[in-house]
Amino acid sequence: MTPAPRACWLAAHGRRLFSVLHLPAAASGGGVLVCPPLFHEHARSYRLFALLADALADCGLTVLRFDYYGTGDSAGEDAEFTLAGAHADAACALAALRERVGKAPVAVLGIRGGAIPAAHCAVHAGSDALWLWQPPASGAECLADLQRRDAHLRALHGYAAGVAGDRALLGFACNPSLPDELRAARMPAALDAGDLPMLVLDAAGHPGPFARTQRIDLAAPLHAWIDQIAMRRVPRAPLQQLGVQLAAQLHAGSAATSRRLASAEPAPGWGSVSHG
Amino acid sequence: MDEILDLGSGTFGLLSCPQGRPRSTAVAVLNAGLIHRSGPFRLGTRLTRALAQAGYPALRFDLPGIGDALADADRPAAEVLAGVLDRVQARTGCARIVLGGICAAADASWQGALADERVAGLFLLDGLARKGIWFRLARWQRLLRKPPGAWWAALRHQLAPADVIESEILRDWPAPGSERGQFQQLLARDVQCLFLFTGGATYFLHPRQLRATYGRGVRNPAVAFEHWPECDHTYYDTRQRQRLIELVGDWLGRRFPQ
Repeated sequence: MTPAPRACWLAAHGRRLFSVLHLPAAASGGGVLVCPPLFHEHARSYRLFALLADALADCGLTVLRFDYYGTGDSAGEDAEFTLAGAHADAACALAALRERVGKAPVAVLGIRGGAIPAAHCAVHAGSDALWLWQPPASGAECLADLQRRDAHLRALHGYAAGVAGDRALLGFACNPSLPDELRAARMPAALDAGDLPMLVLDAAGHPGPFARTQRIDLAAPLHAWIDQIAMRRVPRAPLQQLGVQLAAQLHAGSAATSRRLASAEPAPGWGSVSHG
Repeated sequence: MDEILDLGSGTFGLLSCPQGRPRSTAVAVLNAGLIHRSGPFRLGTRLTRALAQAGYPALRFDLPGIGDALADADRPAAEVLAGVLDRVQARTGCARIVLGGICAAADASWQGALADERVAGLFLLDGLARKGIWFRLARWQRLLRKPPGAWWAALRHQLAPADVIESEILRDWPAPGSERGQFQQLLARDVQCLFLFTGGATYFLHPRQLRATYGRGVRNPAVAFEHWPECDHTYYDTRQRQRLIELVGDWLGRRFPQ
C-alpha cells in the first residue's frame, strides 16, 4: 500500500518552501518533480495533481510537489513571487528529489505556466525527462492569457473592476517585475534542450506549438479544469491510467537514453519525434 | 512561523505559531468549498499567519477528500473535526478553539461548534441565512433602482422555471427553523459568533435577514455582524482580504483577549 503523502519543508537559498513527498510502497523506480501552475490555477488544480502524484507513487515513483516562494503554503508574500525565484525554487526541489531517488531517472512535470520554471529547471539543473501539461507556447502567451482573463473579470464583475491593475493579476498581488519576466521567458521549443526527452500532455486536437513532440491526449476531466468556473471533484480513474502511462514513459525514456549513451549514437530526442 | 501538524489518518495541517507567548485560544480555518487549505487567493495562509502574529496559534488544514487529504471521509465530519481539535489542543495547550471560514467552512464550523464544547467562537463568512420577506424586499428595492427596461427582464426571470439551484440544497444547512434552537444552544455556552455576509452571498441581501433567521438571539452581546455587499464571496480584491484579516483579528482581540 502506498504510504500517505508526507509534508516537509525545503530550504531554498534561505527561503522556506512547503512541499509534499509521495513515496512508493517499495524501492523507488524513479522520481517526478511537479512544478505547479501560476496564480488562480494553483488552487484550482491542487487536488488534481495531489491525486496524480498519488497515482504515480502507486506506480513505483517518488513524487515531490512544492509551492514556489510567495505562493500556497510556502513562506513569502504574494508579491514576492518572481519567475527567477521560481526557477531557483524548482532547482532546489529537484536537488532534494535527486537526493531521495539516487541514480533512478527523474522527470520534471510543468503544469500550464509552471512549464516555464519546469523547462528551465530540466535544462539547467538536469533531468531525465521534461513533461509539459497544457503548456503555453511561450512566456508571453502565458502572460497574455492571464491578462485576458483578468480583463474579462474586471469587465464582468464590479468587485474586480476597482482592483489596481498595475499591482494585481487575477486577484493576486503581483511583483512589478513579473510581467517582464514572463514576456522574456523562453519555452522548450526555443530552448537548447539537446536530447532531453520531452512529452506534452494536452487535450486531443490541441497540438499547440509542440506539434512534433511526443504527446499524451488528456481525457476531458483532466484538461477541462482550466476553463470551468466552479471547482469540481476530481475523478481518480483517468489519473490512475495516466500514472501507469507516465511511469512507463519515464522508464522507456531512461532506457533509451542509457542505450544511446552506451552506443554513442546521435540522439533522436523525443522533442523531434512526430507522434501525430 | 508555520509548522506541519500531524492530524492522523495520513493527513496534516499547517499550524501558524506565535513567536512570543501564545494566547490561550487557538483558531482553526476550514476549507472554503473544494479549495485546499491555502484558500482562495491564499487567504487561508495569510489569515492564519496574521492571527499567529497576534498571538493565536492558527491551523489551516484539509478535510477528507479535499486538497492533500487524499482519502474521502470514512466517518462523520464532526468526528473528523473532533480529532483535529484533539491534535490542536495537544500541540498548543489551548482548550478553547475558534472555528471559521468561508461558505462550506462556515457550515462545517457551525456543526462543529454544536458537537464540541471546546469550540468557543465562530467566524462565519457567508454562512447560513434564510431568504424570507427581507430578502424579497431588498430584491424589489434593488430592482426599482434600475431602469424600467430591467424590470421586464426581472419579471420574465421570475416567471421562468427555476434554473438556479437554491443555496439550501447546495449547502450543509440544518432543516429550516432548527437553526434558532441550535443558535440558542451556542449562546447558552457563550460561544462568540461573528457573522459576515458579502455581496457574493446571493441569498443575503438585507441585514434584517440575520434576525429573521436566528431570532432575538442576534442581539446577544456575544454576536457580531457585518454586511459587505461590495465584496465578493472569495475576496478577490487584495484590499478586501486585508480588511477581512483585520476584522477577524480585531474581533478575536476583543472577544478572546487571553
